[in-house]
Amino acid sequence: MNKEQYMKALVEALSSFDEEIKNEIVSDYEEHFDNGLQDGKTEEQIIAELGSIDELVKELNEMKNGKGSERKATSGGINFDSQKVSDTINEIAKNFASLLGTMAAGVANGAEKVGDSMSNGAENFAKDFKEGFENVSEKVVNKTTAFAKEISESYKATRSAAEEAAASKEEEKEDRVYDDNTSEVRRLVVDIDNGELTIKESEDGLFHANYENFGSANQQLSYDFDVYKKDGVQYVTLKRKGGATNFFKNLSMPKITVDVLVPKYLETLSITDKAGNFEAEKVVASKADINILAGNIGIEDSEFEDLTISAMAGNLEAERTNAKNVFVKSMAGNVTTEGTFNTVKITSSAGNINIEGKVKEAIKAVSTVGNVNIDLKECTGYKADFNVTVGRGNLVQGENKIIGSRSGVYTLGDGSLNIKCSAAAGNINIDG
Amino acid sequence: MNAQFKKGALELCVLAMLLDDDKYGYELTDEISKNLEIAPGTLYLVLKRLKDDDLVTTYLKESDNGPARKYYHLSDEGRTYTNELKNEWIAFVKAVDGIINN
Repeated sequence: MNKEQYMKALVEALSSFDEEIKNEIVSDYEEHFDNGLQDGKTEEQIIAELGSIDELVKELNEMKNGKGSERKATSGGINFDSQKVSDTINEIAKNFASLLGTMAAGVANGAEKVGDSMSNGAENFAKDFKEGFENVSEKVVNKTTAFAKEISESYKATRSAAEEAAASKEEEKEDRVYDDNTSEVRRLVVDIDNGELTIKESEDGLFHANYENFGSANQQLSYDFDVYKKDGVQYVTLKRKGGATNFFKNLSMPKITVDVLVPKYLETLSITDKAGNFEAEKVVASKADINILAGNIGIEDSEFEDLTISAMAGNLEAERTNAKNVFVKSMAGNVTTEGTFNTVKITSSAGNINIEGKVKEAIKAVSTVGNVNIDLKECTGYKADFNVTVGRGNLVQGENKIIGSRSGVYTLGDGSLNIKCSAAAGNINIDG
Repeated sequence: MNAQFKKGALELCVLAMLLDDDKYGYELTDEISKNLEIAPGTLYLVLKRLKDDDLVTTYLKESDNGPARKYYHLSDEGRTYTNELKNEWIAFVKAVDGIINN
């Protein structure tokens, strides 16, 4: 096609429009050809660039019907309605919370299809998110879909890791040492499929582990409780017989309690509880890793160098607990930490983040849905780098105040503490 | 990309290019379509809409070699609007970045 043919087709295609519109577009295109040719392009090149006439007519029709010019009706040309986004996010939060509720209930009941329901839930969540945000950006949607996928992947990974562990269990049994009272317990691993788990400082300074199963005789027989040492590490395990896969087929779970009493100081502490609450009291450990799938976490009067917590569904509350470095990842549920810390890093997908007490070096708090509240003691100042999408940021430090900002980097007082936080939907409040 | 979102973004691109000096259609469309894979045809419609909304005005000016060109000039209203839109866009992109990078 050459210029003459293209322009003829254009005039024809525009024949149903007002003379004024038609003339304007035709003259714009004529001018574009002239300039393009001067620029050294060929007619064919320019035609290819200008694009299809059908497409132009389609867009022109949209424009004529008012679809294309919503600018005057709203405040901004990018059509970004924060109230709408806020409503959407609230809706999403509700759905997300219910998804996690379903998951938690599934795990707690040992429902067979917990994995499936989770994947389905995650998909629906992604779908809701996508629909809600269709007017904003595809990029966000893709990332969110990926996020939902990540949830279901990470869940699958947890499950297959548990299966692997169960599979290799038989082979490893030979190296185990039982009834070893000669060496002290410094490194402890507690890994249980189900049960209310507590860890406390023991009165006699020695290690003890108690297991009670309040279920029927059959239910009591279906669990293996094991306490042994291997390579200098003390293990406490509770596994359902028949491998981890059967765990999901168990329709009702008996009430189980596992109480572990530990010496004054531990080098490493690793906790895994797939269903049930976890409580720690007066525990001192250099390095602690805590993974709770479904259930709340409560930590009191404890001390750690590095404390890492991953909570899938359930709240985390740490009171009078000091740690050099705290790292918390929570899927659903509120996170509250109170104590003295050097650095605190918390991410929560759904749920509020509350940080109280004295923090010396840095805080990073990221919440997708939920508020971030930071209440600092003995604080001489901080530098806050934050942003919220829906909601407000309120910073207070002594006499200094920044109220109702959306994002920015502010230094209050001496700026000695570094704070970085974001909340997609929710407010950020910092008081130092 | 979502059609509404794209239109808003294109509008901002065109307006922002006019902040410093007046430009003729080919300059605007060639520059933007090089970077964003947008048909110049679409951009002429954007320009027309901006003109209909009095955000830009147009005038003809002779070129050194060839026929007169239609120049686009940002009106006072357009200038205010562009700056607002620009700030809004920057805040929006920053917020989205914050979410997707965490």
